[in-house]
Order: sequence, then C-alpha cells, then structure tokens
Amino acid sequence: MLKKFISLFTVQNVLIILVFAVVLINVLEFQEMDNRAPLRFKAFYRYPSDMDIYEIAFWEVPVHRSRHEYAYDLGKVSDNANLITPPHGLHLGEWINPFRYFVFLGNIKSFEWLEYDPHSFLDDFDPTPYIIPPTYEDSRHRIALNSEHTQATEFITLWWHGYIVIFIDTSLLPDYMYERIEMLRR
Amino acid sequence: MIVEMLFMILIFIGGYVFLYSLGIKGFAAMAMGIVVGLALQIVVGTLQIISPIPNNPYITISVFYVYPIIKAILIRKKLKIVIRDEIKSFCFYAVMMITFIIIVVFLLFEFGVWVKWHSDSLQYIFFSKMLYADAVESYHSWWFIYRMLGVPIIFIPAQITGEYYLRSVFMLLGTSTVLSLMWFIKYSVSDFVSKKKTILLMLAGGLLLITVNRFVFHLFYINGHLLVAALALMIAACGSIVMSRKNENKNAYFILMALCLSAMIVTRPESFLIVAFMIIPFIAAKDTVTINQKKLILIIYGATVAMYYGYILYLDYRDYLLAASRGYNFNLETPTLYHVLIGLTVVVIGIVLKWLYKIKIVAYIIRYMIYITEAALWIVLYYIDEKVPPRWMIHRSMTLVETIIFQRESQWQSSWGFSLLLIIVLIIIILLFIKRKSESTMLRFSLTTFLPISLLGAFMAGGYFREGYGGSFERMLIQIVPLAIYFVIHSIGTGKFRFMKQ
Repeated sequence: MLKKFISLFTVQNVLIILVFAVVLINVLEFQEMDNRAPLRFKAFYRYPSDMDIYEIAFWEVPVHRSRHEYAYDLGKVSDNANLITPPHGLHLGEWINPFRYFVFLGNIKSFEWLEYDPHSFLDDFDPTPYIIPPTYEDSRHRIALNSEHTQATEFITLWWHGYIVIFIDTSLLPDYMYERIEMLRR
Repeated sequence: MIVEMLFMILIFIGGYVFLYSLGIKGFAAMAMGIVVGLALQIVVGTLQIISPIPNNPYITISVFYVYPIIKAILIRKKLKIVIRDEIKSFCFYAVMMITFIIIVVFLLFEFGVWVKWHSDSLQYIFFSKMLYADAVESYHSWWFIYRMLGVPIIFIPAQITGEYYLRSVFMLLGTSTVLSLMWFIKYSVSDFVSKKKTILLMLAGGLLLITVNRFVFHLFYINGHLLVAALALMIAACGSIVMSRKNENKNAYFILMALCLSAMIVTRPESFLIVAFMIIPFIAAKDTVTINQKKLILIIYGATVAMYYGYILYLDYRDYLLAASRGYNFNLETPTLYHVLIGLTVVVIGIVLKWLYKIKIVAYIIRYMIYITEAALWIVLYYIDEKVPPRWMIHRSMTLVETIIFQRESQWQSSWGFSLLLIIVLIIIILLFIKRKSESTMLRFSLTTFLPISLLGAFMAGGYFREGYGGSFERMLIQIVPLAIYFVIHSIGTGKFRFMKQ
C-alpha cells in the first residue's frame, strides 16, 4: 500500500502537484493583492459615466488637428489652429464639471516635473475649478492646446485623484480669452 | 450592444471558418476562433490603412471570408462530405461560443463593467476614431510608432455607433487565450500521457493562467498587452507544432503562425524585435522545418516590417515636404528608416536562403543560431552598459526586475505578487531537471531571451523602464505569461527527468 502510494510520486506527478500549488498560492494571494492595490478595482471607473467628460476633453482636441499642426512648430496660435469642438452639441461650460474637474491654466512646459511626483502637485495645489466661460463657444475664438503632440496628449490625459486635469497653455490663448479668464479667476 | 454583439460574432465566425478551411476543427477552432479572428482583422485592417481602401470595418470583416469561400468553391465535392459528416460538430462548437459571446456582451452592457484605463488607453481609442474617420490628413508618425495599429483596428467597429471601444473584446480574447492554451496542451501532451493526465494538465495550465492577478487585470484593461500575449502564444505554439515530429496538418499551423506574426508586429512597438527573436529557433531547426517554410516566414516577417515602417517613413516625408513648403522647420530624423532597412534585409535573406545554405559556414551559423544569438544579446548588453552612457542601465533594470518580483510594500509596489516569481521558479526547475523535446526550443527561446530583449528595448527607447506599478516593463510581462505556462506544462507532459536511468 505504502509502496503504491510512494510510487505515485513520480517526477511528473510532483511537478503537476507543484503547478497546482502555485494555482493555490495565486488564489490565496488574489484577495490580498487586490486589497493592497495591484488589481485596483477600486480605482476602476464605470463606463461610460466617468469616462465621457474625460474623453471629450481628450480627443476632441487632437482629432480635429490636422497634420499641418504636427508639422509646424505650433508654439503660437495661427489662423490654421483648429477649434476644440465639444461633441454632441454640448457647450464647453457643460462638459467641464466644476465640482469634479478643474482646468489648469498655465504653461505646460514648466510642469514636466509632474510626471515624477503627481501627488505633491495635488497636495500643494488648490483644486478650485477654473472654468472657461461658457460663452466661449459663441466667441468663435480658437484655442490651441500645446502643440508638441506627445506632451499635449500626455498632459491632457493626466488624471489623478479623480480630477480631470486639462492643461491649457495660456501663452497660446488669444489676449481676449486670457483677459476673460483672469476676470473669472478674480 | 447589438452592433458589438454582431461584430464580435462576425469576428469569431471569421476566425472559426478560417480555421475550418485550414482543417483545424471542433474544440480547437472554437478555442482559437477569436484570437485568429482578431489577427485577421488586424492584418486586413492594416492593409486597408496603408492602401487607399477605406477603413470600413464591414470591408475588413468581409475580406475574412474570402479565403474560406475560395477554398469552398475549389473543394466542392469534398465539402459535401464535410457538410454531411461534420456539420453537427461545426454547429455545436459555433453555437457554444456564439452563446457565450452574447451572454458576455449582454452582461457588460446591462450591468456595466469595471474598466481600467489610463492615458495610453485613451490614445488607442482616439487613434481608432481617427482611423475610422479615414483622417489621412491627420495621420502622424507618432501614432503609428508608439500606439501602432493592433488595438485601434479592433476598436474600429465600435466607432460605427459612436461607442469608444468594444467593451467585451478583451474579456473574450482572454477566454480564447485560456481555451487555446488548454487546447495546445492537449495537442502536445496527449501522445505521451494518459487521457486522465491530459485533462489534469489542461486544467493545470488553464487554472494557472486565470489565477494570475495580472491576467485578470488585463481582461479589464484597455491596452494591447493581452493581445500580444495571445498572439505570442499562437506564434510559439504553432511554430513548435510545425517543428514537432507529428506529421499532422503542419501547413495549417504554419499559416496561423505567419498570420499571428504579422498581426503582432503591428500591435506593440517592441513586437518587431520580440518576433524577430521568436522565429530564430524556427529558422535554426534542423530537419523538421523545410527550407521553403523558413524562407516564407523570413519573407513575411521582413515584408511586414518593411511595409509598416515604410508607411511611417512616407508620413514623415509627407509632413516634411508640407512644412518645408510653408517655411517651417521639420526634423526628419526618424528611426523608422532602420526598421525598413532591417525588413528589406530579412526579405533578401529569405529569398537567397537556399543559396546561403550551400555555404558551409553560413549553414553552420544558422544551425547554432539560437546559442549564438542568446550569447550575443548578453554581450551586446554588457557592451552597452560598459561603454555607452548611461552605464548603470543594467543595474537599474535589474533593480526594476527585483522591484517587480520582490518589493511588495512600497508605494510603487509591483502588481504581480508571488505569481510571476513562482512561474519563474517552475521554469528554472524545468530547465534544470527536465529533458525536453526539440520543438520546445521554440517556446524556451522566447522566454529566456525576453529579459535581454526588453533591456535592449529599454536602451533603444532611451535608457531604462519606469519602476513599479504601471511601468511599461511591468505591463509587458503579461505578454509572455501564457507562453511561459504553456512551456511549463508542455515540458511536464512531454519531457523526461534528466537524471533518470534509461
């Protein structure tokens, strides 16, 4: 009987047992890993409610940008700069929710350090929403976001702590727009 | 919901019928249906994008069916027999998977699902939107170099109804990957072990994959890693079947290997490098792979790389001309030229392979290519680390590996837990103690070269990978996990204890 039992422990069988042992450890560890954060279900967002606004801000910017803008040095607003058109007939003021998101107006280039320590950025920064005036749509003025496409898409899509951070390089805004925003901030 | 359901079913049926037309039937066709369907979609979609054909997903899907239809016309008589004898099995497996797809899509739409995304995910979706709009004017090389076409193409059908992505695609792809893994295990070990043990090994493989924390994560995550993982498994597993002594429908697996290889190249930026190393054991195989097969795989690899990166080169040149005409500076410094040259060189090597074999020294090098390449990889890395700044690249990267596997308490802790470490331990045990079949080199080589290739990729990308959660290396690791599990189970099922007396 004992001999028969021992004979079951061939190299192959032992290896199979080892594989199942790994499966067991994985299962036992799963919950612990989830609690610690790796699976991060808690940070997951439901589709589409929390995603919509973010996406709008994201791709309505570059999708209408033509290749000309990529080709040019777009540090400036030119006649060719494209409109940021909020989709689904929404006005800009509607898709930036003042209670959850804020728009940061500043020079993107000075925020390269963000990539390294986003938390300290949020700790130090007052997340009061800076809202672009809803009348923006009617103004028929155009905003060009930072033109360095890689940076722009990275920064626009920055997201931490449930905030949508939209970086708009104020140096790119027409004076008229800048004045209105400054008025609003005051 | 209806559109997503329809497209997922069409993608599955496309892959399923394609597999049937190749002679791969029943459970195997059901298991691989979605992976192969998506690979077909990516390959056809890529051709549409780089040619003047509109990027309409209906055209993409229609093209899937061309090969099975042509084949059906050519073998009309045989088809009648097939229909008479196999229609039940064909319908049974198709209905099973279609029902599963309908249930998954329905649940995801009705009850919502957690989805994981970050900026890359949105860029994929955005690029998909751009492709669907056929916005050729907006195409910029950056998207093609860094986001590539695999994921955006599979999201194109979602754009029809204004959705952002296909919610069920990664869930279904993951299911297909697990089923494919189980089927490959069955195929490879059933001749060596009893029926019961075959089932046990299939279960072991499937369970080992679905209990990996990161695999579950990737079912919810919008990115291309799971797709690459599935394609890498297909390439290596099909390659090992072609390399095996089993003489069963090898051409079908060869076609699948070539298809998945092309799809993988256009899915992730590092894929062209990884695929290049994956096919080396295939090229170096002694007598199980014909010269024609080697020749074809080289030509397909080289042509895909040259064509894809050639298109990127064209985009850059177009923008350069436009900027110049308007008096703007445009930096035409593009690394894609090297990709194109590499691709063309591989095509030429493929064409002259027969003659190369006649030169003794070359034939000798090809035979021992896997050892030469592996050693060369480490030597190159050592040289880079010693001579080219930053000198601390390897140390830094090793720290990263250490972080991913061992460091569990820090803020940027790894997300793998023990699972990866334990799989690595299993691999080491197999390598040390199990005498494996020659075809398993196809699986082993991809695994043992993954780390040096990744480090090389990190160097080419400008230094090293970011540490911890969300870093690209940490995410890339899932790409070899199904393959690693297949290697472990394949070796257990087919190998022998190295120190056993005969």
